[in-house]
Order: sequence, then structure tokens, then C-alpha cells
Amino acid sequence: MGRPSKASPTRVTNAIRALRFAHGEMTQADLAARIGVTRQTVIAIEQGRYSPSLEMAFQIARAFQVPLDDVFQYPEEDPA
Amino acid sequence: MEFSQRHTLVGTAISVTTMATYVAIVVVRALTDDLPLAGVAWQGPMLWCVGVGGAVYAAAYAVMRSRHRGERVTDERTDRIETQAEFAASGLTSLGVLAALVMLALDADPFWVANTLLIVTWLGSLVGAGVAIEAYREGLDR
Repeated sequence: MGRPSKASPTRVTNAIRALRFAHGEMTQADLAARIGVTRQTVIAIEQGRYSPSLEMAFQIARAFQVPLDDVFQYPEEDPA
Repeated sequence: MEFSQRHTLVGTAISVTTMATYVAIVVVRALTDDLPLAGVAWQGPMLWCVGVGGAVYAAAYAVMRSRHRGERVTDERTDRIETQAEFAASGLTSLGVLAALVMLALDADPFWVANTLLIVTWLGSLVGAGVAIEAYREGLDR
């Protein structure tokens, strides 16, 4: 499971790094080319420094052939 | 460092150098000719500095872009960063335009009107560049 970096600005976490390795050690550049973004954007998403648009999120999930929830997770709110 | 961040940094460095050159020319002319600032022939230095600075930036951009030929250098994240930077810059620039209008209405010397516009739009571009560089380094959505 991917973890956001220490300075993560978002509560959304992702498993992109794990999924890349599970898919034949796909490189960040390969993933970037598949979804049509720069490699730095893939890095930013992996590190939790950028929350992609819904469309890009679906493209990432499709690149790994998994449901969206397997790529991105959002923590449950603690009950008050 | 990614292309967009690099060209923002290079553009900022050129912009600061250009502005420093212009200010130095005007101040030195005022001191050496013992004139008030508004009495200096500022039009030539301003136009030359803006023109040369723009040309240097265009050349630097072309060189940097040629090193990334065939690569994707923009996407939705860089577009969002640029939009955020432009929004930040536009606030200050709007104030500069308003200040210039007020100065014109008060019949201020063209030196002060032109230099207010130049300096405030320059500061606006610096603010925009700062916002963009921060977003490239630390991320959006904070």
C-alpha cells in the first residue's frame, strides 16, 4: 500500500507504487506514457502531493486493470 | 527538475536581472546627471530592458524546450499550477493598473505612471512564479 509523503497535502492515499511493481515492475515513465501525463505528475500522485482528476484516476485504474478503490483510498471519518 | 519548473525559475532569474539592470541605469543616470528620478530619460532603458529580457527568455525557452523534444511537458497538473500562478499574479497586476489609472487621473508625471505599471506587473509575475515554484515543489491541494 502506498503512503503519502510526510508533507502530504491530501488524505487520499494510493497504491500506485505497489501496483506498478505488481505489473511487471512498470516504471513511472511507462505509466505516465500510458495515461498521457508527465513522469513528474505520476511521482507527485504517488507521493500524495497531487490529487488527480477523476478522469485521470480512472485512467490509472484502467492501466492496472483494477477498480478505482484498489488504486486510491480515502480514510473513514472518525465517529464524533 | 521538470521542464515547467525549470523554465519558471529561468524566467524569474532573467526577469530579476532585467529589472535590476533597468533600475541601475535610471538611478545611475539620475546621480551622474544630478537629476530627479522623473527627469531621467527612462523610456529607452525601459523599452530596451523589456525587449532584451523578453528576447533572452524566448531564446532560453527555445533551448530548454529543444532538450525535451518529443516529450510531454504539460498535463492537467502543470495546467492547474499555471492557472493558480496566474490567479495570484493577476491580483497584484490589477492593483497596478488601478494605481496607474488613479495617477493618470491626477495628472501624475508619466515617469511615475510607467514605472508603477512596470514594477507592479513585475512584482505580480514574481508572486506568480513563487506560487508556481512552491506548487511544483510541495504540491497542490493544500
